Amino acid sequence: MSAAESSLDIRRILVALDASPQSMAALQAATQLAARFEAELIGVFVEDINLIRLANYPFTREVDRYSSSPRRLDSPQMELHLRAHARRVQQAMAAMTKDSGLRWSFRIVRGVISVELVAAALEADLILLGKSGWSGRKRVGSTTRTMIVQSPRQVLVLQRRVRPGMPITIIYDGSEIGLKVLQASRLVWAEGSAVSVLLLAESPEEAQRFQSEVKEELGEAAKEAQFRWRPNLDAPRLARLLRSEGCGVLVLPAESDQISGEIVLNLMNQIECAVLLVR
Amino acid sequence: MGSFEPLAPRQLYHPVDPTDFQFETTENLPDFFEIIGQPRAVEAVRFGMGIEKEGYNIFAHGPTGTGKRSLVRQFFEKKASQEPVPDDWCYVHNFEHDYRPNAIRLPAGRGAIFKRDMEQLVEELRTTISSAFESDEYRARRQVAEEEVNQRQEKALEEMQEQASQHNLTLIRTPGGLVFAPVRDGEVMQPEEFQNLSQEERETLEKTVGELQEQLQKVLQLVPVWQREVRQRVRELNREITNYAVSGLMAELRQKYSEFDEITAYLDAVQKDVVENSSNFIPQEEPSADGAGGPLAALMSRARPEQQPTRRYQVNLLVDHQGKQGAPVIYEDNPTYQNLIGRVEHMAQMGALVTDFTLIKPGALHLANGGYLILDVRKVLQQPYTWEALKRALLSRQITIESIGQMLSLITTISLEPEPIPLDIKLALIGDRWLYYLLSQLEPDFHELFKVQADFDEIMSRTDDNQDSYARVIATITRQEQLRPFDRSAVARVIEHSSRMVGDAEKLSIQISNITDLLQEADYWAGQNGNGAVDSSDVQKAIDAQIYRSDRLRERFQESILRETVRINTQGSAVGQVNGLSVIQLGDFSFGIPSRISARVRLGKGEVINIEREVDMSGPIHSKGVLILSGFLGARYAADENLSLSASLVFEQSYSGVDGDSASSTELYALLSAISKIPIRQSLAVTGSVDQHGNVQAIGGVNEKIEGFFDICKARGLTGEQGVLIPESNVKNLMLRRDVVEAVAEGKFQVFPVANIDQGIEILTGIPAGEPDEEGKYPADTVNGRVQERLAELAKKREELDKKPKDEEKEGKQEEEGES
Repeated sequence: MSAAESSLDIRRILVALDASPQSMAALQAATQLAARFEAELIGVFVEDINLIRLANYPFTREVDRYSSSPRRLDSPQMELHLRAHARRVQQAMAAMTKDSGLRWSFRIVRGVISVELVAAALEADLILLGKSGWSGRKRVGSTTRTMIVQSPRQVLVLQRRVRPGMPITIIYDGSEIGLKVLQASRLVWAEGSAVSVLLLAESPEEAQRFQSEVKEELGEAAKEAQFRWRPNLDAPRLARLLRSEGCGVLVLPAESDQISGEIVLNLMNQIECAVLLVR
Repeated sequence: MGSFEPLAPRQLYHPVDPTDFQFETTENLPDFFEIIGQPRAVEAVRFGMGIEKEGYNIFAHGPTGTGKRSLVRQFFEKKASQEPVPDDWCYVHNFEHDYRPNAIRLPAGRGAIFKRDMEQLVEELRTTISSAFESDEYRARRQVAEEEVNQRQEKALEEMQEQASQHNLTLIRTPGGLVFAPVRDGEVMQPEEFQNLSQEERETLEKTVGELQEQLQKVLQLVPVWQREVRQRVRELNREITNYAVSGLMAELRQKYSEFDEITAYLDAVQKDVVENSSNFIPQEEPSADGAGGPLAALMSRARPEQQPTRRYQVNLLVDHQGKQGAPVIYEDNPTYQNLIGRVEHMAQMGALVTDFTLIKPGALHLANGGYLILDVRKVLQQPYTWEALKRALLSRQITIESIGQMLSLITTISLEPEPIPLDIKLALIGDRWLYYLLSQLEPDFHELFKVQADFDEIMSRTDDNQDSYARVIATITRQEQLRPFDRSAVARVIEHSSRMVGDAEKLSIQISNITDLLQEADYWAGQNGNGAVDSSDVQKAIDAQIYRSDRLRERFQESILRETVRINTQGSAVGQVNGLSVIQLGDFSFGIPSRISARVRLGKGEVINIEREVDMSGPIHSKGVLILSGFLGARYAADENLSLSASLVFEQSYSGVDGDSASSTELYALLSAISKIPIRQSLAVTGSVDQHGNVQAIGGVNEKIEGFFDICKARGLTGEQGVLIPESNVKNLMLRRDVVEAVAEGKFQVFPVANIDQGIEILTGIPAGEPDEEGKYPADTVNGRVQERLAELAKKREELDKKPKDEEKEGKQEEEGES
């Protein structure tokens, strides 16, 4: 761990798990990060209270996603389902941390997922979660949406597995949070990552200034970085750019003067890369 | 006896006079490019090579070492060098029938270019197609198509959600599917709350949930249909993009090969196939080396050359004549079925044997197509199915590759039926004479296929001209084999030995391989002796050494005679006993040994008993010779009366079979001596066959026979009395060893030519044979007179005996009665 990395002060990493492929990708990334920062890994599995409740209705039927045939739901079975998923997640976590000597814990809580996660997030420095859970859609799921808006800590949202050295795109707007964004980008930067920085500046002069700020802050990592200047953040345009250039991880403020939660959500709905929201 | 002169030394050996040669050593002699002594074979090969009609293949037969193969090869190569280089042949994938690869013919050298062009095409297709598929335009169009199904699904689900929320319901995604549930304040309503609702509200909710569920089911059922549509659209898009990307490249190639209809048709098929299978050209993500996909994935990996889908656009250049001059001349040393016809190899894949057109390998017929092929007929016949396959190819005039396993239904693995290739070939089979005659007798198609026989001789006449040519052949061989030059004495000695090899002073051996052996061995001895050039003593040493290496058995035979285990007298005289001579052949080496032939006579009814025959140790020719003797005896001495003797003849101390008639004169002498009781000189040995008139006829191996007797006499000490009687007609065959000739010159040994029995008996007994008078009576003091007299005596006794038996019979009966 370098001095720059230790300055990030990541001690506990929370990963939200629901056994979906996306959450497994999050778990893997979390394990790697925990190993890198010698942080404690906390896995949280939330038993969705809504699922348990609706299983109690006599008239609800689960329509199978693939066969489209309806299935009777009952609460013992639903409980069984959730427990099985929890066990699977725990086993996966044990397997992944087995040889790393990591400190890790796993717990199951019951409640409304987003509420429980926001609460749990308070004890961690970084939260990892899948983009849309079981629905597997490209759009941001409801839980993640809540976390994007309400999470007290920085959040890394994943849609698929990430690997070290993926290209990184950073959005920098020169604000106070902007500095944090630059620092946080070290979380996902690795040797060989291509870095491209989008400077949100009102004038070319300002963009120039921002660029030197970025260079100063990032140092070695920004040596071969590519810089672009935009007067404002236009979500569809940025999404197109990211798609065509191929983006691994996008690092941006969760909220700032120029970037509203709305824009972030809109952007995330259109791209497939992992997103690190800094606050 | 004085009237019969033995042969002079010069008659015993026909030397070559080295001074007749115009050269000092073989270095001064030019090469001899023609084929020596084979005018018939040369003419035949030239004819067979020149005539370009079906079935005029050549069968060159003759003894080994007569230069069959080198002659045929030399002629073929000379002719082939002036002929055009034949076409190249390729096998390519057949896109309609996988298992029937197509054959394509291209002018010589173009095959390799075509192969390279196709390799390059695949390489270019790879980049062209993958860049076409990576283009933004394609990606966008594809994404639009793919996104559509997602959007339709999302939209449908959103609509459902919309409808649900109007009824205070929400659509919840569970790990397994989708559920509608009543909500309040964004959360699923507590069941207790639900119970608090009015009956009516509950029923409405329940009913709405039911309806929505049905709708949801319908929507989800549509998803696979949409997906199928999308796939179809993506496929069409792929096809369109590929066709666009490929057609430019293909047009270029098609233009290049526009004169070859087969290739343009093939290129059309390739383009169609590429468009259908464009995904083959897009790099696939490979399972990583750390075995993430497991060993099975590694086995199935497309990176393995045999799994590469673009393998089918390769060109299998079966016959490549790039850079060649003239037509091919191929000698297939190991003509197995597959080496001749070609084969389809297989490779193991996941434990199964698979194959494709790239694994077709050419046979000798492919390589020699348009040119000449030389095969050893014995090897062809030894290989199972090869003869049949060769015949089939020649008769059908095409090469069809078929594996033996397939032919016999032994192997049922996937195999190919490559398109047959037309065959245009001149074939020469090389082999032994007996194989030629056997095949021509037993093989019905033989004369259809091999209309030219080249019959190679093993001897030629020893004329002065031929001797000069022979010297040049020797010179050529010494240069080919990088031997020391031979001086003229050595050449003379080699030519003399060549005569001796064929056992004829007027002939020369043209089994060049034997001569080559002798030259090499003489060269070796010259090296051992430190001679710069090979001289006659080296040649003699080589001959002696050859003999010494193989004459162990001769030594044993001679030893057993000298130790008198086998009794052969070389001095004194005896009645009814003559030294005969026989030849034993051991591989290349033959030698003569004497054997004692004896005859006994007594009163009888005119039969001559061949004891060898009684015990089945006499060959048919020997038996015939003995029967001729009775014919001669009866006609000459007892024409008008009964031949009243019984004679028995035997090869003493012979423990194996006897054949040949070369001892028949000897047997007759023994018989005449036995009848006349005149002793015969044991210092002489006899060979020669005899006819019913008493003429002595030629026999084989005369040199070995004389030397065989000479060796025994020499070991015991030559007395000057000893000698051999040979048929007069064999004199021309004499090429005797030097020590024999020298002994004769010194008067220590004699060789008598004999024309008839009378001459022979006179030499053997020292008593004149005698001429008959007008009544056929011979003078009493001659051998013939004594024989006639004895036979008359016997006949008389016989007559007396014939009368007696009746009296004796009576007496006998009385005796019997008396006793009883």
